[in-house]
This record gives sequence, structure tokens and C-alpha cells, in this order.
Amino acid sequence: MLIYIFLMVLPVLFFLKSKAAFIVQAFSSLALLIFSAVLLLKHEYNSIFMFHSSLPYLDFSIKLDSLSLLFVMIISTISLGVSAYSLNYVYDEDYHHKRLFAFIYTAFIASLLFVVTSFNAISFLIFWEIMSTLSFFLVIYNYENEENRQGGFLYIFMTHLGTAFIMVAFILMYLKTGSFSFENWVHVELDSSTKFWVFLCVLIGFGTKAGMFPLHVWLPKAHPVAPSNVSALMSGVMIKTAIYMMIRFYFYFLSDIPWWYGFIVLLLGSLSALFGVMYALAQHDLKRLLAYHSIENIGIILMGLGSAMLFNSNHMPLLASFGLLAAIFHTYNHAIFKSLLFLGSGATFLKTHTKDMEKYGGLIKLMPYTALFFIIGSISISALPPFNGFVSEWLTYQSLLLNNKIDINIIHIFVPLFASMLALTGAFAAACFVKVIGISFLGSPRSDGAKNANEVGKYMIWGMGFLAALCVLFGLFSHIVIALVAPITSLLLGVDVSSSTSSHLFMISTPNFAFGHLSTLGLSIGFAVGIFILYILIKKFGNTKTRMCSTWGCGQLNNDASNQYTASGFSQPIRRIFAFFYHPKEKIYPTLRKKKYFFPTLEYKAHSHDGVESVYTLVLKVFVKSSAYLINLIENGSIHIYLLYILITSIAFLVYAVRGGVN
Amino acid sequence: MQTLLMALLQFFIILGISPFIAGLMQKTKSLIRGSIGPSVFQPYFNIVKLMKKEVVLSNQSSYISIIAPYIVAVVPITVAGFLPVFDSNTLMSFSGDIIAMVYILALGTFFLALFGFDQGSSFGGLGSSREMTVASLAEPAFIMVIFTFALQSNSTNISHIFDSMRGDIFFNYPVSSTLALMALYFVTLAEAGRIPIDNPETHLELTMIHEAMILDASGRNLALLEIGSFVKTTIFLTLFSNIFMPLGFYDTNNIWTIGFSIFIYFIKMSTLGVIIAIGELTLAKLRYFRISDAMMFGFVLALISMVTYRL
Amino acid sequence: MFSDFIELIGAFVLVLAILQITSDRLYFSIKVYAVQSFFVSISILSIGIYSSSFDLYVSSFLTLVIKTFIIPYALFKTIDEMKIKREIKAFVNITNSLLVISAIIIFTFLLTRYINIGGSVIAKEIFPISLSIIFIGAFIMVSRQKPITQLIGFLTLENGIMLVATSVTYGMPLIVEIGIFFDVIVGATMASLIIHHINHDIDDMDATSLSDFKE
Repeated sequence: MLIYIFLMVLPVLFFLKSKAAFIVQAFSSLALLIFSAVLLLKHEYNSIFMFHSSLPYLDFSIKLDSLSLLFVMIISTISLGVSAYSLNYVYDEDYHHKRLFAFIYTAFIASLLFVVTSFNAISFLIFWEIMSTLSFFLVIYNYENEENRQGGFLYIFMTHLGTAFIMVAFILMYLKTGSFSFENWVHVELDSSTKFWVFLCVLIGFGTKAGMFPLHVWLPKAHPVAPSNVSALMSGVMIKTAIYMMIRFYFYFLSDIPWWYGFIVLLLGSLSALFGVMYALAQHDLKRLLAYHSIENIGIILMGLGSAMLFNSNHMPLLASFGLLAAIFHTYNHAIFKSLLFLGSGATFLKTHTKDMEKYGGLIKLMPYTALFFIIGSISISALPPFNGFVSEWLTYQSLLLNNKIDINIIHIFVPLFASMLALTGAFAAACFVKVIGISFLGSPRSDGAKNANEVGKYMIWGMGFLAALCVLFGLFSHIVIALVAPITSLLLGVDVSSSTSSHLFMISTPNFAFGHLSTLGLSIGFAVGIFILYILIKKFGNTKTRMCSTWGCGQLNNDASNQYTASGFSQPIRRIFAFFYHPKEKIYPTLRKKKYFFPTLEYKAHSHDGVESVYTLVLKVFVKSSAYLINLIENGSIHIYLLYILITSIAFLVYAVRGGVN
Repeated sequence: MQTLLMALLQFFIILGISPFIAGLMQKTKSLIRGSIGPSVFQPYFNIVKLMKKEVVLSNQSSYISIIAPYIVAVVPITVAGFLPVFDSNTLMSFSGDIIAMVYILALGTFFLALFGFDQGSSFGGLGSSREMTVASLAEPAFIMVIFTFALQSNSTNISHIFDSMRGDIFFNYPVSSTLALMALYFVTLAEAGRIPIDNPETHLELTMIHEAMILDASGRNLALLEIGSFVKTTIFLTLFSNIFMPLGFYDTNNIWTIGFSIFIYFIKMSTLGVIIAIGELTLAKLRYFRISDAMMFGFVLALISMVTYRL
Repeated sequence: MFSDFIELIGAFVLVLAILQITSDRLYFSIKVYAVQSFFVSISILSIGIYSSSFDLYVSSFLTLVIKTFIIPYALFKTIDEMKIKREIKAFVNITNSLLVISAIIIFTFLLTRYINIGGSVIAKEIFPISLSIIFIGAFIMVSRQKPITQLIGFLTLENGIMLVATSVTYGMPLIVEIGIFFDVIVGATMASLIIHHINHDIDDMDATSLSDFKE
């Protein structure tokens, strides 16, 4: 136990030698990773460490139960990769005050680790605040930029708003139990109104941190401006601590929750997923695009969580454990591939000096390793087989499908709808990453920066390679993760998920094996054999010669890179189809007035802004103008609107009549 | 041993029949238009011919251009291993279910779109953009249809769905099943790239979707991509005829009944191919921005099918 | 088995109502309406055969003649004479309309779970289906700009009423049904006349221009 705490804080002590700090951080993360995995697999946990202070209420208690251990694993996995990456990145990027950076960085990771292991509300809040503040400092590390400061301030504002709600939830729990220790909160009996307020405050408070729709506004502003290794940690790990506390509250502290709690989580999850991916598609700043994908993946995690809550409230622990497996598995996966992608974007940023995707191109030939790892991460995040993202998304689908076993009409009809929203999300994610890879890594370079790029340093490659290897490993051998999650489900729900889902070798299945099963290993062997046979056939009977020549330019000779499709061109059809959602502002105008008629040079600008954000800014205006606006709205003299009123009224009467009929 | 042989037989039947279906569609269209048209076996000759030609690649291209055609070809071939022709024991049924199948097919689309980008030409990106948009819009309806059938047969395993649909599920829920099949027809048109969604014959930049991506492909690459698209079409038709509307003859008692089952499968696939070909002749291709309406229509059909089944 | 058949016919009518939403050409809309009316008449006929009621034969025949042939013919003629532009203008574009439609369908199906119709019902699912058709018709009236498409919306709505009346309650009394048919004919004629006048007076085929008349 003490070794654990020692390992957590050890790297901070080395901050005076920044390079040493990163190295020690990497090794201590590796040690933590191995320790946690061993402890989880050998079922040796629940050790507790208490530290009583002289102040009232202020107790520090650190407990390693299975849930905490898994999140320690997630954090240390990512911090291992990111720390190795930082060894090159921080020096190549040449940050000033490297010692300061190393100090904040290592302390941030330590605070993350303490957040997921704290077992007392007060100490949890302290570490939570330390984590938020340190990450704020990291976001505004390059504070010379106006954009960075704005993003940072929005972030610190939103995160404190969330913390306020978290405090309310904690105080409510304290009032009911008379204790701040998490030990006394386990499956506590609450009356239904308190339960509802706790549920709501937890949802809002931690939802803000997680970037759940519609509380996500800070996320696409703060994540892109932070240094890439920090973005990787924030997006990969920090927002997961909110998921950790949601699991802890909804499955461990609250008991006998009504079914519609789960339904709300499911609904918000599906909205976040769709919302995030649709805005991601419209971006051409690579890091902002990835930040929107974080919202999407949080949505998918919440969908798994919501369906598990639905099962739990209907007393189906086996199926609930399955849903929880989907959520936790996706949490782990998202941590891995999202930090991999952020690291990849950092690498391209380092070498091309721009975050604008339209200025990349052809990087696969100049940065082969980065490109390869980025493609692996993209396949994972697009949930394509056989990598890890696919497995957890498959689990989410299955748990949604199994939700139909709950006999409630609303669930019967809405859950398939959510599933098709998830399908749309997955497809859009694939489209989005085709765009990212196609525009930035394939084709020919679109700017001088991209032309002069070269491969990044070896530690960066190692860091990314480690995470990419995990993507493949967790995809092909997913029962490893199931074995790690199994202690959690037995802690929270009293059911061991591994016995029902990985009963056959190299296969994962739904609790009922006949309902559905999956073997990614089998699939990839199928792929490999297929490719091998095709290759042999071509080699034997076909022609293996390849001739290289310049790209066909449709008869034009000036075959430069600007002929290629652009990122905004790629997403234009979707922007136009869902115009009601994006409110795109598109404009074509001549750059020089003089050449209006003869060979004008035209410029095209497309811009779509976050609808929710404008909602936030508009709320006040709407309040002021609401009365005048309402009258104007009701009596606008259009016959169609009046017809609509008749329609609405008749529906309302119908509802009223039906309700009367039931009574 | 016998099951393995049968599974292999089914697998190769699906692979073998797929160029024929493409040829048959072409032939039907030609005949109705009043021309003689190429032989129904022309796609086989085309594949062999293309295999023997050398590949021309852009000097901007990378290893994606070399591996993507293999993946695009092997993905539908793997999926073909999931599908039953006359018997529920299939080659790959241990390794995935129908949800996995949707995503495996998406892997092929993903690499096809990357292939479009890799040449650095203006057409490839255009095709990729359009293809990914259409594929995305088709996905919700597809998942909804799959959910409907999975709930009706209480399994996502393709072999189980096949077995239970072959019973009387189709007649127990005729409304739901019919609407789901109508929705699936739209999805099939979108995924297989047929009129009114995409015209497989055109090479006009205003209209082409699939063809724009493979415009720069040649030689063995083109052959592999063609194999991929043939098999994909056949997969969707097989899903349509064998999994979700299993009206036919399925008997594995002895060699004669197996032969007869295969013959019936062959007839059904040809009929579907002819129906789609006739549909292509009678409909005009939709304007690109109307495709979303068509896909949305398919989705609403799938939704009604789900609603009538579940509520 | 028979109820399944009736439900299937009802589902086709619903699908055609949705197809009506997706159409952006007037001719196509009218054709869809004609086919829809044809299905309604089949539905009425089969219920007539099932319950061997003479009234239903008559109303099926009337549906076939009036709605499948006369009204579409009259509408085609109006369009040709008026030289109305054949595009359909709408406040809500088609994709969004379909989203609204899916919400309507979910809503009606959920709603009817809580309604107990009572009595002997031929086909249970017809009730939500025709309720959806009625709402879709109303939605067409709300969301389309031209009077003629609003008329088509009204006719769709009427088809839904016809469907629910015959399938749930073995039909209304014949005299009521004949009255309804006359209503529809008169309504269609009146609407054509009004359309003619609007066209003549304000040179525009757009009901939004009517709001210019408000004080």
C-alpha cells in the first residue's frame, strides 16, 4: 500500500531535472500498471490507508478496491505512453520553464491517481480541485495566445460550476449518513427525493467534467489549446475520472434507483455521441476535431452505463454487469486510442507547425511510424474490427439489444432508436477519420510545412507505439480486459461477468451464448488467410508489376496539391444535409475586386459554430426579449401557424382524454 | 468433417455466383434496352483479364494503395463466410454475429475511401466523400432492420436468425417483416451502389460515387476492388433472400436435396438480380442531395417495422 | 391471419402517406394519393367480404371511383390549366419532415397502448396506423406552402379517417359515408376553385401570400 503511494508521488520529487522526472514517471507508471494488474488478477485488493488530521472532518483515506485499481491501471497505462512521448516532445517543442512544466505534469498525474483512490469525500474534493487547477495551468501553459487564455478561463469556470454540484451531492449524502467516508455511503437507503437530487447533482457535476452534452462547451475550447501530451492526458484520462465517480455513485452508493434514471443517462449519452461526432465532422483543426470526438466517446460510455443502470434497476444483475463491462471497456479503450490520436496530432503539429488539417498532406511518406500509429488509432476509434474500439462498441450494441428484455414500452421503442443513433455515430466517426487520414496523411503535401516534415524522435515513436500495440492487443485478446473488469462487477453487482461472457476460449459473448458471440481473433485470422490466398493467387496467375507515374490531372498540366479534395469539401455534403443542425455559413467571394469578370480568384469560406454555445450566450437575451417575442410568435398572422395550433390542440386533447380514460 | 465440407461449399457458392449476378444484371439491362450486351460471364473474364495487367500507380501514392485493395476484397469474402446458402453451419459463424458483420463491411468501405484519397487526384477524394456520406446515412436504417429481426428471432447470430426465420416467424409478423424488408431494399441499393442511389455505369463526375474512388485503380488492384463490390452485392442479396425472407427449399438430407437447394438459391438470387436491374431501368438516379431523403425514408420504414413488432 | 392482411394493407397506406411527404413533384404526389386510395378501397372491400356487409361494398366502390380516378383526374386538370409550377414548396425540408413523421409514429403507437377501444376489433394495429396517417395528413397541411398540396394533405387525412372507420368499427352507416364522399368532392372542387381565384387575383400560388392581407 505504501509502495503505491510512494510510486504515485515519486516523480514529482524529480521536477528539478525535468528529463529525469519524465523518465521516473514512465517507470513508476509501468510499475503501477503491473502491480495493479497483478493485484486485480489475484484478487488481492481492498487494502486501505488512513491518515487522520487534526482538523475536523479532514481525513485522508486511500483505498484500493477493484474499481479504483482498474482506473489506476488506465491512468498509468496512458501516463506511461505519454511520459515516454514527452521525453522528446517537450524538448523538441522547446517549452520555456521545463522544470515548471515537469512539476505541473507529474503533480497532475499524481493528483489523478489520488482522485481515483480517495475513499473520503473531503480528500476526494481536495484532490479533485488540485487536479482541476493543475490542468488549468497546463491548458494555459502557452499563455501568450489569446485563444489559450479564453479556453482556459472557460474551462476553469465550467469545472468549478461542476464542482459546486458535486459538493451539493456530497453534502446531501453527508446529511443522510452523517459521514464523509465512502465506506458509510455504500448502498445507503435514501428517500426518493434525496435520491433524485443526488442523482441529478452527480449527473450535472461529473457530466460537466466528462464533457457530456449539453455541458461540453469547455471541452472543444480547452483541449485543443493545451500542449498535445497534456491534451492526451486530459482527454484520455481526466474526463474518465468523472465516469469513475458516476459508476461509483450509481452502482455503489445509490441503491434501488428507478428505471428512468438509467433512461436519462442513456438519452444524454446518445445525444452526446451524435452531437459530438457531427461537430467533429465539420472541424478542420485536428485537435479540436479530436476534442469533439471525446464528447462522442463519452456519449458511448454513458450509453453503456445507462443500459447497465436500466438492468440494475430492474434487478437483472447479470445483464447489468454486461452493460457495465461495455461502459468500462469503452472507457479503457477510449483512453488508449484518444491519447494515441492526440499524441499523433502533436507529432504532426510539431513537424508542420500548424493545426490546420488543410495544410497537411502526404505525411505518410515523411512520417511513416506516426502515420501507421495514427491509422491504427483511427480504425480503433471508428469502431472497425478487429481493434479494441470495435469490441466495446459491439458490447454496447448487445447491451442495448438486451435492454428489450425489460418490459417497459418506452424502453422497447426508444432503445432501438438509440442504437440506430449509435450506428449513425459510428458511421460518421468512420467518415470523419477517413477525412483526417485522407487529408493529412495521404495524397501530396499541401504546404511547405508538410513538405519539409520528417519523422519524430524515437521516444515519441515508442510512446505512440506502446498505445497502438495496446489497441491491437485489447482488440484481439479482449478477454484480458474482461478478466480485469470481472472483480468490479462482483464488487458492484455481485456477479462475475467473466464467467458468462468469456466462457469460450478467445471469444466474448453475451450472457446467453447463443444470443451472440464474437471472436476478433478468429476474424483477423480469417482476414489474414484471405489476404494470403489472394496474394498467392495473384503471384501465381496474375501480374505483380507496378508502374509509377504522375497523378492523372484530367488533362491539366499544373498538377499541384491544390487539386486535391479538401477537408471542408469532404464534409460539405453532410453539412448541407444536416443544415438545420449546423447552421452553416458558407460564402464564395472574389479575393480581388478587380478580377471580377476575367479569371477571378475565388475564396470559399465555410463556418459552422456550436449551437449549444450560442444557446448559452443567448439565454440572457432571450430572457429580456421573451415577452415581446412570445406575442409576436403566437399572433403572426400566418394561416399555417394557426393550422398548427389546431393540430397541437387536438393532440393535447387526445392526451388529456386518454389520461382521463385511464383514471 | 461433413459440416466443414458443407460450410466450404456454401462459402464457395456465394463467391462463385457473385460475378454472375453482376453479369446477369448487366445482361438484363442490355436486353430490355434492345441491345445484345456482353455475355453474363463477362465479369469473370474481366477479373482474369485485369489480373494479368500491370498496375499503374501515382507517384504520390503510399502503401495504402497496395494493401487497401486486398482488404476491400477480403472483407466481403470473410462476410460471405457468415452467410448460409442452405445450411445453418457456416464457415465463420463462430467469429461474429450480424452486428459485427455490419462493422466488418464498414472496414471495407473505410479502406476503399482511403484508397480514393491515396492517389492525390481530385476525383478520389470526391468519391470518398460521397461514399462515406451515403454509407453513413444507410447505417441507422440497417441497424434498425437488424434489431427488428434480431428481436424477432431472439438472437444476433446469423445462423440462429436463419434457423428461426425459416420457421414461421416471417408469417407471425407479416407487417413488421414486410416493412423491414422494404427498408432493407433501400439499404441494399445504397450499399451496393445501384440506381437510384448511385449509377454503376457512369463515369460522369457529377453523378459517380463508387466509380470515382476506383478511377485511378488498374490491373490487379481494380480486379480486387471489383471482386469486393461483386461479393458485397451478393452478400446483400443473400441477406435479403436467405436470412430475412427465407422462402425456399432448405434440405441437407442427401446430395440430391442439397443440389436442389442450391438450385433454388440460384433461382432466387437471379430473380432478385433481375428485379433490381428492372428497377434500375425504370427509375432515374436521384439527385445527390435527395439521397438523404431516400435513406431517411428507409429509416422510417424500419422504424415502423420495429414499432409494429415491439408495441 | 385476416387481421394480418388488413394490417399489411394499412401499413402500405401508411407507407404511401410517408412517400407523400418525400415527394417534391405535384404529379408524383397525386399519383401517390391515387395509389393510396386504391389500397384503402381494397382494405374496405376485404372487410366487406369478411363481414359480408353490403354497405362496405358500396363504399369500397365509391372510394375506388371517386378517390382513385375522379379526384386525381380533376387535380391533374387543375394543374395543367393553372400552369402551376410542379415543384412542391415546403416550410420544412423533406429530411426534417421525415424526422417529424418518425416522432409522430412513435407518439401514436405509444399513445394507443393506453387506449382501450372496446368491442370487437378486426385489426388492432390499424388504429395507430390510421391515427398516424391522420396526423401525417395534418402535418402536410401545416408544412406545405401551396394550397394544392394542402389539399392533398387534407385528402390523405381523410383516407386515414376512412381506414380507421371501416377497420375498427366495421364501417359507418352508409348514409354517413356517402355524405363524407360528397364532402370530399365538394371540398376538392371548392379548393380547386379557390386555387383558381388565388392564382388569378394575386398571380401567385403560395398560401403564404395570404398573410399579406392581415391588417
